[in-house]
Amino acid sequence: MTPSRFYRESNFSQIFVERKARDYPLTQLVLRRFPKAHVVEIDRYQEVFNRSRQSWRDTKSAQKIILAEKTEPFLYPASDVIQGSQFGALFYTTPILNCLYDCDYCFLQGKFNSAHAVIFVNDDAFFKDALRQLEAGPFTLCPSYETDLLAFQSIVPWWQKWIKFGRANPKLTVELRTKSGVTSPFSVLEPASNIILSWSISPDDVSKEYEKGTPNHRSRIRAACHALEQGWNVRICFDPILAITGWQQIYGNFISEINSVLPLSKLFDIWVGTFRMNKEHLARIKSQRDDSDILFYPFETSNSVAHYRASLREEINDFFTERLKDAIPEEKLILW
Amino acid sequence: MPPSPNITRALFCALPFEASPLIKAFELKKSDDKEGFTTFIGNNSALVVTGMGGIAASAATNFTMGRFPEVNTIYNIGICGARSEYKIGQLILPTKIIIEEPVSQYYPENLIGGELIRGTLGSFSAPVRAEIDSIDFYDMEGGFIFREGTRYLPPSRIILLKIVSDNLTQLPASKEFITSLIEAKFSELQEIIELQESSLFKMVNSLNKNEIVFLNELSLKMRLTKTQQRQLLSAAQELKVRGGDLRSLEAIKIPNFTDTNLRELWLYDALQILQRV
Repeated sequence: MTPSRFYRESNFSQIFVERKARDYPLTQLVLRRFPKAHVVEIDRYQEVFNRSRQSWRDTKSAQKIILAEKTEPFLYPASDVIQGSQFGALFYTTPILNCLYDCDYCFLQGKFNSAHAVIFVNDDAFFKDALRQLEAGPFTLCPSYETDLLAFQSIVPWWQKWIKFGRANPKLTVELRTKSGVTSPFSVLEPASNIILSWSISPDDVSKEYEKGTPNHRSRIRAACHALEQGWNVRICFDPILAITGWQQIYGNFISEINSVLPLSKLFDIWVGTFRMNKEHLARIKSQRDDSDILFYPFETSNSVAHYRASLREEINDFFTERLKDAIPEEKLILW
Repeated sequence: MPPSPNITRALFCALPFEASPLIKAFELKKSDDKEGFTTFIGNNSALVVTGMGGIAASAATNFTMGRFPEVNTIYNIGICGARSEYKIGQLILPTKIIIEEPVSQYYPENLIGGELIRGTLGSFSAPVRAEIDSIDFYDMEGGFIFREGTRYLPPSRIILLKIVSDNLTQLPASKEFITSLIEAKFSELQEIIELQESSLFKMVNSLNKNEIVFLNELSLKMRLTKTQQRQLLSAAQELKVRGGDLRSLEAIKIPNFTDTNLRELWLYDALQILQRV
């Protein structure tokens, strides 16, 4: 039988490059990383990324990279949906838009028109803006809010760049959240007290069904343990917790397992958050996909955020609090 | 106008002798419809002969998408000119499209890889007889079909497949030669079409016709307002994705007469059932 001459396009087999972005060192680095990719020059990244009537799901099946130069704003005030806004000034920044993973509950499906990964290459402009904001006082910055920088580390070293920037600026707290299981990027760096490495973890029943492409929780926990041993501040996020059938048993077993393999008392803190999403993002996702039951739960809405009904949220939070209270001081358990 | 059969694929060719190999291979029959453009239908496909040029191609695309609203994939298959480094008969998949007038550019969302030549396609108002910087391939319709198609479908569902017929300097190719070029590439075209359609994301849990009829009958019996109907449909859709059974609604007794209060009570009960988890 003759082998097929055609195949489904693989991720990153095509790279769009903004004309004004082509000479940046990060652009050249990414292009060297994908020497066989078809490179297409564009004027503005929005021509591809923001065009209307795209199918997010179709674009996710053959994800492309867009290399672009970001313009202001570089820092965004965090919304109420992000935990931690109670700890003073909290901003997020977007060195990359979109993610390598494909989680059913990801709000990016509803926020962006396409699944392509926009990698901004003007790193100095991001850092200059963060320095300008620091002049107004200390703040916390989440550069992984609309992506997973550690998962992208082998493509573009943004994750490492934020670590280095954070270390040089002790008034800044940097939180880098991930689902990655890799350890090599932080193994070669010295920990810093103002940097928090944060892992989102879910039971395998959840990650297999709803977090496609992610490492299993054992890999993530191994990475978190490794970081703890090296002296990093480590945050564990049970977020989002999904009220799937049998959630009490599934998450109960999961917490027991975590408690047995991870020294919880040594963690910087633990964040617990039930599923929630901006209601418009959720509506947009539901109009494009009908293959994931967790998105079609009869949510309640308040302040434009869709979430489980208050009594269920309370039940889940109580469940986690009860099971974690002996392992970690109350003030280190942050609930949404 | 006769009712349209279930047409989900639209194929556009500018010329009858580009279309003839596809009509034969896909076993299409000429439509009796006398309005609009010459159309051949069959096997979930409508092949439309647009005629030459951007205006005709734009009009044909809009006509076809209005005539066959269930179309979910568009193909433009035909010949193109190419710079001298490309060979006659090569199959082209554009990665960028430039329309000459009014000047605009587009980026196809290609999901298929493999032995395809890629580059920039320029769509012009007249045949081009000399190479232009930054344009690899030259035609008169592709850009317009893509532009108009994106009014109806995501870019990932509009595919331009061009076969190089000349390197701009030769005399126009004969009808027979053009037909032979398309014929020679048919098995590849078919393979790409099959792969393309299997790569697209499909909605799997949309309410089917029977379920919609069932819900519409209930809405009619209960004289639900438009807003209430939307609430019912939305809750029914959510239940279906969660694996529930809409027939559970039959358990609610329908009152003999309807006034606003009874209607609202019925809807409340219905939503309670549909939103049960």
